[in-house]
Amino acid sequence: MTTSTAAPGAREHGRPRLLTGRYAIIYLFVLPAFVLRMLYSFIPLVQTVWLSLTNRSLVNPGAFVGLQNYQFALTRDKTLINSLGYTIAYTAASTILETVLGLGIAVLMMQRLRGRGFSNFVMLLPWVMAPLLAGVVWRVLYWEQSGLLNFMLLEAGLVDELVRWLSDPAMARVSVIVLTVWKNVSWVALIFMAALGSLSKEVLEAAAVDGANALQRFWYVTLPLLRPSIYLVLMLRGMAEVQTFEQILGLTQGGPGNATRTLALYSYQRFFVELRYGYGSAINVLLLLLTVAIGGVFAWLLYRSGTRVAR
Amino acid sequence: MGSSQKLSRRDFLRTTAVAGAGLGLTATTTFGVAQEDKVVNMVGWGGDVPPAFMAAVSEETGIQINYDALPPVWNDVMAKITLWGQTQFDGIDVLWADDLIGGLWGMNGWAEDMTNTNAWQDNKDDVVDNVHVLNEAVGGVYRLFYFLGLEPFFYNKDLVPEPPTTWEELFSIGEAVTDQENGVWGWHPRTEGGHAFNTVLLALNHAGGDLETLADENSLVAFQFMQDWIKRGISSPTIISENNFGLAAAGKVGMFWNYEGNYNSLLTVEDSVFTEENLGLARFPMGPGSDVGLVHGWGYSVPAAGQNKATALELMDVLASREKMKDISIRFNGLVPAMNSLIEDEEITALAKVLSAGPGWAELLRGAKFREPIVNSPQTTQLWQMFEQLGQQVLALELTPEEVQEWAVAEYDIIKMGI
Repeated sequence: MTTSTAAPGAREHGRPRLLTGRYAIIYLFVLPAFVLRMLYSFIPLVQTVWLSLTNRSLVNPGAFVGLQNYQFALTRDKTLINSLGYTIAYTAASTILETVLGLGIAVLMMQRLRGRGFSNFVMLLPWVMAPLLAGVVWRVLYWEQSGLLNFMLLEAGLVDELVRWLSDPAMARVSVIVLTVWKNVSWVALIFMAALGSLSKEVLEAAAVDGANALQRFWYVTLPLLRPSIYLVLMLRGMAEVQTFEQILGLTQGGPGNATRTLALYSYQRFFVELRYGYGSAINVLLLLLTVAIGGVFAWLLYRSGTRVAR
Repeated sequence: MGSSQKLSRRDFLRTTAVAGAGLGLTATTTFGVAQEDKVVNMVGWGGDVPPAFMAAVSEETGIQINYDALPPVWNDVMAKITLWGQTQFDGIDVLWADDLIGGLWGMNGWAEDMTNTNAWQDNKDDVVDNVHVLNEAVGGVYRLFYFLGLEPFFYNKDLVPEPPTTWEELFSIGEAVTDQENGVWGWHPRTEGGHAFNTVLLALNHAGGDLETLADENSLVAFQFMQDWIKRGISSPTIISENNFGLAAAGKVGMFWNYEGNYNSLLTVEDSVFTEENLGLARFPMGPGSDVGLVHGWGYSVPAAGQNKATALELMDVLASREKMKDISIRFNGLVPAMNSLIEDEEITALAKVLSAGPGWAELLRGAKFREPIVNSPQTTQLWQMFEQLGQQVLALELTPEEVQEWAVAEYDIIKMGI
């Protein structure tokens, strides 16, 4: 009996045997997953792109209109342009705040403090809460005439009049960001806790021996070592925040007016509420491109930081 | 197994033939019965009353009514109904439809025009004028209303002894009533939770705005009027996020609009300040264009694609009769009917107290319009969404009336272009 130690795909007689021999069985095993992936991801994506090039709606069977939907969206649709602006601002603010606060919380949680287990548990509660439910809970808190938040602020004498959490457009934009940060900061902290736990103690001890104080150790040693984790968090949170939907639906439904209407909400409105399949799909494609752009930038930074560490 | 229990080929064939003939005969008989049976599949409101009512109608007419309820959440209702219409679903023969659903179905050709049916012709003279105006606007009779509600102007007589008759009086009375320190406001229209579209439509109607374009000067006047409620301090800036019902019942609101059904609720809710003596109803203050209210309602629609359409139309003759309209009103404990003779019916007015309150129902109803242009356009859903956002944007005060108008005109363009 002869046995082969060659890896699958090794060249035999100078030519890889990709579709025969061992490869055939590998492809066979992969095939169902590949087919399902095509069915559930790729085909809907292609269909969405195709729909975005038509004017199909509830009352219109639709015809091919080329890039008309995109042209209209980016030049004449004021709601979309506002939504795009708010989506970018919301994503940037939420992601940065979550990252900074999450890192701060993680550093605190890594200290040997009493009740750490309990506080870890409490901290994770917002993260496990369903986004829509979180939106509704905060809407109750934000109620202006009878909400808990205004009651506490007035009782404490911190404000003289009711804060218009949800009826003032500028404040509503902030209220939405507060909810998002509250909801996701614990997840970020969890990632940073894991990253902090894996840092080499020797490096930090060496810095201490060299006379660096706690702040210097954090700034010059810990933070650079955390860079890949920071990029990872920025990438994942950025991609998630740009698509935020449920909690805003639960909290403001995009209002007042269109003040908190993110692209995801706007796409939902056009596609599912108004049943404008073509135009809704075009907005969805724009949202996808924005998501890919954000993910791409941070993925590239992550890759670069990884290769730098490797070198 | 003994040989006697074995089935020969001949026995097998004979048995099969007999069984086949039996089955065939049964099927034919069943089909024959099914052909003769009158069946109607109906979808409408949830609760115990509708199925009980339809069971009684079924017994009386011999038409078997298979009744099912709409989903409890409005968005689900719209999604389902839109899908049924769009796909020409033939499993529903009678659909309970409000003015929005009826508009969507009627204007897209999914509902049967019942203009020439006995159900309409025999009763149309008794139907309130507002319905005739709607039918004229939509170009047909796409639903037979069993309920016609109104969004009337309410006032708290303890705070507002006499209702305003002009826009300026609304401001002067509102300013006199408002006591911001104690959270009392002069005017609190209903705008939260998807009701801003009603408020902006009221203002546009009162200003005489061009609802087909929103590009005229009168529309601008309407937007300015609404913003002045907050700017001149008669309305709380929070009106777009808070329900006025609780505040009104607590005596914190001088004037407001709400649905007619809440007249009874305001009297009966726990700790309400209202009694029949101090809960006022009036026509809206007169604007540059009019003082009309808004009406809304529910009726029976017959889907064009229904497989039992003839029977459904036959059933309409019964359901549209005065007797059955009165029956359903009483079963719902005083549902406001759409027939003039029933509005004055003693049994109904005893239950629906709103009918005899204020200047009288006929006076409140005079000239009141359905929610045009939403209900008379094929793009019902888009327009509803647009007017809802329009109302919110006006009251959010972030944009000037001119900027809001610019947004509205552009949004109208998108809808009209069919994008």
